[in-house]
Amino acid sequence: MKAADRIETLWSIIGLGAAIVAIKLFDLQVMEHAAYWGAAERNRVQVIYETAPRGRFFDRNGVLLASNRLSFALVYFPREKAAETELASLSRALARELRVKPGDILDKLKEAQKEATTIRLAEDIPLREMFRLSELKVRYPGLYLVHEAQRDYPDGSLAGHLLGYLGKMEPKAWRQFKRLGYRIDSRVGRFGLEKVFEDVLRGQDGGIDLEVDARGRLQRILGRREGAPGNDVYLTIDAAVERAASEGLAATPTRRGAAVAIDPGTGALLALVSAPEFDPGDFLAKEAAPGKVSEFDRAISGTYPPGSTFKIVVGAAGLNENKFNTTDKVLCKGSFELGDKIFLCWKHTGHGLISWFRAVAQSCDVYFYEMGLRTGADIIEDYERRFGFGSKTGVSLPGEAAGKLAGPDVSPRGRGRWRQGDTVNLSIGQGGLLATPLQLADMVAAVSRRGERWRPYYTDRIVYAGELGTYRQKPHRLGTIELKPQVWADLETALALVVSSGTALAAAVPGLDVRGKTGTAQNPHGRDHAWFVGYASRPGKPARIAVAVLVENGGHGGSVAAPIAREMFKAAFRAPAKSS
Amino acid sequence: MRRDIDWVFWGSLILLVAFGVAAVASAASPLPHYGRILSRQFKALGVGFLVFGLAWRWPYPVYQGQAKAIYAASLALLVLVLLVGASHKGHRSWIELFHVTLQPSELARVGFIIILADYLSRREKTISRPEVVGGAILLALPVLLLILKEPDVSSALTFVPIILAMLFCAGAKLEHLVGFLLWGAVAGGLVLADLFYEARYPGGEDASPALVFFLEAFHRVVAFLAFLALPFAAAVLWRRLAQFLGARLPLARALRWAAIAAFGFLCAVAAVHALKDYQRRRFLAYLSPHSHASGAAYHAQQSKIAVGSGGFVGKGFFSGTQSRLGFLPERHTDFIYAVIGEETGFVGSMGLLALYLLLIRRILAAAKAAPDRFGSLVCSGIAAMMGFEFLVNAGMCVGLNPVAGLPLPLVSYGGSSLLATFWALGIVANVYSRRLRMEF
Repeated sequence: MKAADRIETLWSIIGLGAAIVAIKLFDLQVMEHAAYWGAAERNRVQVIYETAPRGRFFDRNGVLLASNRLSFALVYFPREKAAETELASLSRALARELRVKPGDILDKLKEAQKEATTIRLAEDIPLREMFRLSELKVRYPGLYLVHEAQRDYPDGSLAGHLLGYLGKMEPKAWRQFKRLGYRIDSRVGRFGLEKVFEDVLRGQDGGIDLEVDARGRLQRILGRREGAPGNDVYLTIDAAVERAASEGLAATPTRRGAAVAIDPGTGALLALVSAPEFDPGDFLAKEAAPGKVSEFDRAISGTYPPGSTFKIVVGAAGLNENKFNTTDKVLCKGSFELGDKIFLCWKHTGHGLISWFRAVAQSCDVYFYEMGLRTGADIIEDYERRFGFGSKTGVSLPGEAAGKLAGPDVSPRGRGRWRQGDTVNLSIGQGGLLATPLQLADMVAAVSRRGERWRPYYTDRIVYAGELGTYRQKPHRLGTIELKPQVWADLETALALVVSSGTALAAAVPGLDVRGKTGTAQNPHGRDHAWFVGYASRPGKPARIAVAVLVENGGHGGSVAAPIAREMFKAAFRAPAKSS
Repeated sequence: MRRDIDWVFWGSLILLVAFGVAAVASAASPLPHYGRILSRQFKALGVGFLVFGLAWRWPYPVYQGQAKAIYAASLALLVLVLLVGASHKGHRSWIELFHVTLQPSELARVGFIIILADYLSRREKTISRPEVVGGAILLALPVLLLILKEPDVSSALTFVPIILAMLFCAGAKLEHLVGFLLWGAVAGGLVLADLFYEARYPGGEDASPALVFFLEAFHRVVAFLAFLALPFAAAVLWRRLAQFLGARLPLARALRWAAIAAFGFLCAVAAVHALKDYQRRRFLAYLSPHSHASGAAYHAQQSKIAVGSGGFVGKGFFSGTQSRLGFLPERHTDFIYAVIGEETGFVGSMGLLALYLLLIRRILAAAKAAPDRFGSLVCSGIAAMMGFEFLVNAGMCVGLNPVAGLPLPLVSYGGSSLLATFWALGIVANVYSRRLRMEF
């Protein structure tokens, strides 16, 4: 190899090295530029966030259920070379307004000055103090008021269980939330609809962008980033009905219970109350650990014996299967004998000779013991299933219970197998049968519409910001319970008699057709549970509201549960409140 | 217009210097002693151009005559820095004299190129002998050891490609250079393996037993003996292979390779023991960048972020956030190329790369056109020096190689590097100008 060739080879080696550097430059600066740009921005920009307003909850008429209230935080940005005297006078002024020791504030200010970092001097400042502080802001540059939206529930505990609450993220969930852009101190829906609609309600936080150097010291304020509020959710709930149920339950002796109201033509929930209700606002405190709050939603998770309300199903089964008819009479002497067992009627003096309509109206137990036996447990069990017992309604809320069927099919074989006495108990809704208030509301809603079954739902519409428009939830028809038209008519007539001249006089509303059935369910936990299921319509119109009211250990359904239902009916037919 | 001036060479040189001044002015502006940094750099540039002019007019054959004196002066400077030098971050690399700080290793590097060129040019006939190659290495050894004593490993490392390039251009046999490379590969590879092992198994436990034995064995004589046995094993294998193939494979060659490998092993053992903690950390950071979020890996990562965030056209001079806000370390010295990448983008960093290639191309043109072997070898050595320094520095800034404390010649802040580079380029200009005189 000649000397010139060797020099050329040396040149090639240097050129090869340069080519590798060039390729790497291309990779970094052209191909991967965006990633490195982002990394550089993350290096230098620190943000003081301003929590964006979370999407609001409205009822079907536009009544506000959950909103936001503006609150302010006071932030201090240290300036270069602020004089000691200036800091001292600032700290005195602030101490006066914030009612703290001047020394504490001064220490904070000095620390911020030394480290060149921003500090939060006060949070959640009420509006009137804010105005006084903004005067200080003019005199002392470096003070900033950042506004933050705080969740606000204007009606306190109204619909508490349904709306749920916000809270800090669980450490385990934080990883996942972080990927979605949440901050470590962000509050997320932890329960109820706040959790269900988290991604809809969540707003885009705004804030103040600060430029910091490698040691985290503030260089300058880059600007403000605009936030965006979350999307509003309109529920099918009617706040007036919800409030009527809530107040009614709160006025009962035990204050425990549940109430559900459904639009029987669509399945839309008009009210869903679990008492006692908690106030979601209690969870918003800074170091939130409110006292013991029961998250247990009795309306969808609590299961209870349906008691006499179940007589609707027994009657539907017997009449539809021609096991008895409305004219068949039974002699009620106050008790019923089966072998060596005696079953009592609630009216120990007896109803005398009684037929279908009076038996339903008076809720005669002996009549249904007899008719239950005539119908047979197999058929009753079949009708349990048809009316939705034993399976979830499918409302998209976490924690819904399925209740429990009773009958020979689901009973064990051998010892403890189904006996005639069990059929007698089942005929008045006692024994092993368990149902949620929502299931019973669903059942009576189906009765009101002659067998139409709809899946219960609570979202009326979601109003998205910008061009995304509005999402409307469509009702979902589940099917029809097929009974002979005459059977439906006999049921309707009987349920009307219950309210007009029977056990549920307290449910009657002048000017409305109200039908229903009371229940007084024996249970192993003390006094009887009081039930009322029913529906109401303007005369001659289809039913617009079906309700189920339960008062735990409340006693008589007719005197305790029925009045609550009455108030709910009234509220539903009152002219809707002006939307706010 | 003088015909002995290589205008492309001068043009790229001046553009590089201008680029450098702008970059340093931008990178150093947020620093507290900005004014002093700028004035020192301008003073160094003034002196540098003076040195360049002198070297350009100074007939280069004089250096050949004074090679021994230059060698002695280089060694004297390097000894002096060890005796009276100023210490900075654990390196005793600077001599302070009347407010002027001098880094002798920078000057010694150019001096050594002259010495080696003289040595090789006198051995044109015998260059194919291995002892000439060995002699070249021996010649470098005192200089290298003195620089390693400072300690300045990066600086010492630049001698390796210079020696290789000059030997290659002088016509050394490829086999000898490959042997030298083999030695380097064994020595360097084992040091890397040791560091890698340390990075992977910090406690020294949980490693596979074979690896533990091998690496722990660094400290044991028995391992060395085992390694000495390697050449014999290799020889036996080699003979078997030769018999099997029926080819002529001289045993002596196999023994030579094995001996070179064994020597490399010895050197690796010495190096592992001599490595300073900060040097280990740099290598570790390079080997596993994410495990050392702060320190050396942090610097390397921030440099990549700076370069990458520059994008195609960059953020503009005085606008690089990575450098101005202090995320980038040593921004006006070792990491100046990252500042250029951030502020002038792909266009600027590729432009700088092109200017360097142009300059090196012209240095090699001078090497080819030089009137004698000495001049040609000096130019080749200087081209290798510039090329290596640029590639290692740029490679460090873009994350191709570990962090090495090498300045970007002509661009980085630092007087000694500037002076040495200007001196070297002045010599190249002189060699080029002599080409014309000789032709006519």
